Amino acid sequence: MQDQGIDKEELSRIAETVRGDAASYGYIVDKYKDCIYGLCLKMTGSRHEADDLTQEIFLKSFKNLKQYSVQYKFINWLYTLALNIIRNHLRRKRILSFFPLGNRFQNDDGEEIVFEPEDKNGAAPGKPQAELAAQWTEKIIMSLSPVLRATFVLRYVDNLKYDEIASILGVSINTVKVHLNRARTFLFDKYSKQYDETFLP
Amino acid sequence: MNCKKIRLMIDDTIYKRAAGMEPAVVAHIKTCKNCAGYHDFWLHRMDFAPAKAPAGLTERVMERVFSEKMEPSAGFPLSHFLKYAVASVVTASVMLFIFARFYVAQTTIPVTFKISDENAVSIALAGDFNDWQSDKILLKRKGDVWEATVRLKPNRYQYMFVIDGERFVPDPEANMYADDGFGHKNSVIDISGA
Repeated sequence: MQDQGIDKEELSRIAETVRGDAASYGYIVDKYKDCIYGLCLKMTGSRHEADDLTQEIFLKSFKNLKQYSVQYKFINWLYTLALNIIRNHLRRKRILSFFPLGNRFQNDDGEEIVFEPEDKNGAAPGKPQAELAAQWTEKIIMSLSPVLRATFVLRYVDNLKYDEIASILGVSINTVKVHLNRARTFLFDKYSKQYDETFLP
Repeated sequence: MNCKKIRLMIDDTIYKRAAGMEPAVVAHIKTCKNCAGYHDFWLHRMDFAPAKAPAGLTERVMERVFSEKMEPSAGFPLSHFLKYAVASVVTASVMLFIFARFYVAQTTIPVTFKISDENAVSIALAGDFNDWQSDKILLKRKGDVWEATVRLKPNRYQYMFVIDGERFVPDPEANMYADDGFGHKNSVIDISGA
């Protein structure tokens, strides 16, 4: 996460919000909207759902702000709350859907997305191969199970440390490491099978 | 060293964003094409483009935050209080009812049976409550009146007095009688729990 030290402005705005000044909460929303929206987007694969979920998460955080304890980083508390809401959303979605979440998912228009490698040889004209590979990975993250996806996103998108991820997900550091290894092995195997060759940049 | 351990070491190096791999990893990937592929694959996939929230998201959230604040239910809403109060009362009533039924069913009430007979040598009480055994509950004589007090659970019982161990007679002061199926009447007593 971008913020490493104690943000006094943030603590002051939280205190003001808790005391009843709702306008102070705008600072919090503005500061964390990108990372929470990014997490929702990576977890759902839909911009509409990510937008709705982000609003829901900030609203719930506002209502429960009194429960936040300053001994923890605010963003980690927010991530925990966000992942609970996202988890419930994915569960509801899975129950409502005839098809389980897996490799198949839909875009905002309800069309099913199938990921194909952009170029069998690895590079499209004018684009470096590593960039294409990173794009592929971003899309294929949706194939991971929600718990592996959440661990992967927190680590590699939001750059959280092992202990922070463990605290947010309520698991041990070793479990985080195992989840990350499983996620990486799964994605690597999927990529290797799709290209039918070992990726060498 | 096996591939699993090597991959964990690769993961660790990538996590630490260290400049170079461990010598053991370097030596392994020279001979293992699959691990070399894993190493190269992940080395180039750790930089994801940061997501950008859509325009106006802060304003939309704050609009909802303000409308939430304006609602009288922002603190501890009265509707919630009423809901919890009704639920508590219903639960307490149901528990009280069950407890009362259980308590009444388990409680016994003392009932005194009396009959006047100056000539009898012994009088016993037989009924549904003692499987019509004629020698278990013996009445005590007090002058011309014979009586016995028995603790019974609330219910309706049929009974008779057994005089001198051979003659069954109904209670002349019973409130109700029931046909015994043999052409005689049994006395009936109704004991309520109230």
